[in-house]
Amino acid sequence: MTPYHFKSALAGLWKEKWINLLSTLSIAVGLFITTVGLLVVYNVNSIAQKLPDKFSITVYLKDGISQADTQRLQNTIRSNEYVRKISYISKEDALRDLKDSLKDSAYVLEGIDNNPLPASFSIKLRKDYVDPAKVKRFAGQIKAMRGVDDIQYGEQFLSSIQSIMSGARLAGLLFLGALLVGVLFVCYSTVKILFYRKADEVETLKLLGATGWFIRMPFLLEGSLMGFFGGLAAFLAGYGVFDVFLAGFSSSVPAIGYFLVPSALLLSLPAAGLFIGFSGALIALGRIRS
Amino acid sequence: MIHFEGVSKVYEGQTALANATFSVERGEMLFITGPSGAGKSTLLKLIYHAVAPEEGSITINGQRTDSMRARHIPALRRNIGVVFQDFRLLSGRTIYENVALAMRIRDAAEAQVKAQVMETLKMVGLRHKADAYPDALSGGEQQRVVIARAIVADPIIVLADEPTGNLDPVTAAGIMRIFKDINSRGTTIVIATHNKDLYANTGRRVLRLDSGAIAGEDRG
Ligand SMILES: Nc1ncnc2c1ncn2[C@@H]1O[C@H](COP(=O)(O)OP(=O)(O)OP(=O)(O)O)[C@@H](O)[C@H]1O
Ligand SMILES: [Mg+2]
Repeated sequence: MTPYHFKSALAGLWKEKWINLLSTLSIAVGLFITTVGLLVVYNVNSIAQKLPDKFSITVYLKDGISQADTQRLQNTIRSNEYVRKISYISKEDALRDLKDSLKDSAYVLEGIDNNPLPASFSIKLRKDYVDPAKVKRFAGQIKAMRGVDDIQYGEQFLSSIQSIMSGARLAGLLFLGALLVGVLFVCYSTVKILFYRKADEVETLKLLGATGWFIRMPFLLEGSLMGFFGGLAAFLAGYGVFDVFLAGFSSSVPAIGYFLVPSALLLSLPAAGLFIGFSGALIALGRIRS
Repeated sequence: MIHFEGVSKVYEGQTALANATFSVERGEMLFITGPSGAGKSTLLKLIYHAVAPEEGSITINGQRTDSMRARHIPALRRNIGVVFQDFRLLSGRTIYENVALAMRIRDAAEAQVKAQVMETLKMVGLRHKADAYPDALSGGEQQRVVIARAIVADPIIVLADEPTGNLDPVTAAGIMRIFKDINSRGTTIVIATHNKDLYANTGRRVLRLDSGAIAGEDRG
């Protein structure tokens, strides 16, 4: 690339400024929507990432199990690779918790002198193991242990974590893929049109002995510049909307404060635009035969 | 420098050149003449590989070019400066830029481009038009820009297709002086023309074409 190529690219952009401006705006809109989509996927994902922390398994112990057996059982479970945390809830703890949760209605428990509630373990699993099949296998192992009466976990909750994570990811990626192809296509068709309009000029360049790359260079630069400016416009729009607008609102609507905007994503927009513009132009030019 | 052996070119059933055999030596100046449609432009196009022959072999500067791979064609063309019959100036670029293009394609340094373009424009008497656009020039002026573009980068071969078609006799004589000058410095030149004045009394070889066939050869 020489200053000459750069100058002819700028001259080319200027000569067809209206169609180029339209293309640049289309690229900007495409990249902006893509960014919004990416942010939604990113946020759904980061919420879904936190859900496994909330997932717990309750293991009810048989009535009358000895202190030593309880301890042994707890040690066995704790040493399992699935387990991140295990806590013991005695019969008394369980009753106190129940009373606390009933609050004013606690009188219903009066007159019961035999504590009917079982002792239990509350188990939190390592993140990687929060998966329906794995949890089921784990639960089966625990249930078979001596002293365990019953086991309970939110199967529903578990499968919905799964479907949110995989569903959102898939839908998001499909959506983003379609948008990026759209942006690529805008660059492709703009450069293709520019190239067709200059078919005569291209023919002359060939006859003068120009190589394919010499001929392509200004077009590639034009495509890249349009992509870059489209990305820059999307960046400015994104910055305006997410950083200024959302930040202003989050003081009145706290939920918005949880919406995460990774600045690296916004900052990479001009580079992404440039790359897409360049690729679109490259595909549009194809092989140049002498 | 240029050798044709039994070369034929057919356009959609129309024979433009039939079984042509001839040679041009290094440093020679050859004229090709003949009526309109005789195949003069076709012969030149075969030399710079704008068209490929159906039959025969073409050797340029020691290299077979008739069945050359597409990726070698640009390098062949950079050895050749062409004065196109239909000019082929780029309308969106100034005269300076049009002439400079021939050097930029050859990767010349910007300082050299400037010096050589201005000198060549001066040779053809168009230095004062450097910043004008082709549309603002007369036919004869445009023709001289094309000539400047063909010779600016010092190619080893210059092909001129009717280079004085739009010029008055005085300007035409000036252009012929330029060709003679670069020819005397070693450039091989082939000029296709109807204009007898260009070769009369030059003592140069003249190849006569008629209906695509070489009808004879004599000296001007
Ligand atoms: N691209 C083409 N397609 C079909 N026929 C063509 C093409 N180019 C040239 N011809 C035909 O080939 C023949 C030779 O054409 P050419 O241009 O070589 O003639 P010429 O001698 O240069 O004529 P002129 O003096 O008018 O420039 C003509 O009959 C012409 O009609
Ligand atoms: Mg002709």
